[in-house]
Amino acid sequence: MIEGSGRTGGGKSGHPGTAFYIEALLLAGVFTIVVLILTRVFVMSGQMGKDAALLTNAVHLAENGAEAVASSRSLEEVRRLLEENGNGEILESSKAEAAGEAYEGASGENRARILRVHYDEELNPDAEGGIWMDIQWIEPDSGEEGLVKSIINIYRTDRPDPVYTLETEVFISEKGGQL
Amino acid sequence: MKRDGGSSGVYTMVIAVIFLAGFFLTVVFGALTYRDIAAGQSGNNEKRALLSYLSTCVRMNDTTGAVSVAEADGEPVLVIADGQSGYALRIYRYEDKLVEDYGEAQGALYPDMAQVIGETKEFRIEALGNDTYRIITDAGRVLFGLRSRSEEVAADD
Repeated sequence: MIEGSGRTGGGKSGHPGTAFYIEALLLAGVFTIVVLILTRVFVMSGQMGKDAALLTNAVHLAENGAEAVASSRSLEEVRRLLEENGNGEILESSKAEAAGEAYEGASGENRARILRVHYDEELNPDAEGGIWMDIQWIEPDSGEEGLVKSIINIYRTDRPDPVYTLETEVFISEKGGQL
Repeated sequence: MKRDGGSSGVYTMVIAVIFLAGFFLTVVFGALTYRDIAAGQSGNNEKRALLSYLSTCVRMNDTTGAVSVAEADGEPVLVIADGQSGYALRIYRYEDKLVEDYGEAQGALYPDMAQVIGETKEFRIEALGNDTYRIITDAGRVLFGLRSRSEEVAADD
């Protein structure tokens, strides 16, 4: 029998032995792992909560963008409706391409024009804001009349992909009506 | 070899303290996370109530001339007529709250009997042209265009 290997040291002293220390260390290790897992779960849930708030904001911005598109006959009119405090700019085709962004179906000059409107984290208009909405205005191939397609993307500085994307179309007639 | 009872007691105490501290910190961190999530959810709901509700109300009653902007005591009032009944939903700010009541379109407001939509210290309505309006509240801004005019133009075509 190995002396001192029991929980009480194998003697009559009542003092903890090696096994007790090892068990205590193992328990502490397991406890630490559990705490780390819980912490990670909490951090993830906190991040998901922030993502939900961001998504709510993005959906709301896109709704406003779609409303502006539905009320306009050109990208300039959309800009007039959305721009506040100089937070909007229209990116021409070359600038849009230079920005390295993929705009599907952007073959002609008009089709690559994009309105970019910046906002701060509270969604207040801010020319230097970290959240922005890109509105692509895709005119029909056949003349002035027809369905104008608009792709609305919401971006945030720290995310390479759009937070939210909305596609909408509005019929524009030559006589000035919209549906 | 005789063990030192004092040092083993300290060891046990240290282990127990580590357990308790870890447990306490985990609980505190979890509670703070929950509080943040609950606050975010509450904020999202408030935002939806204030902004989406307004555009939904307009959409539901978007007929020719149904939506107008009036003023009462220097505060803007969004008046949304209920068909041709002569009555309307009136949405306005009262005591830092956005409220809604139902009454005669041109009649007096009843803020004491109004339904609270949400809290806001700011409520502005801006006409942007093209029958498009922007409403600004503490929760942000909502844009809506009236479709009724577009339908008339299309019908004329």
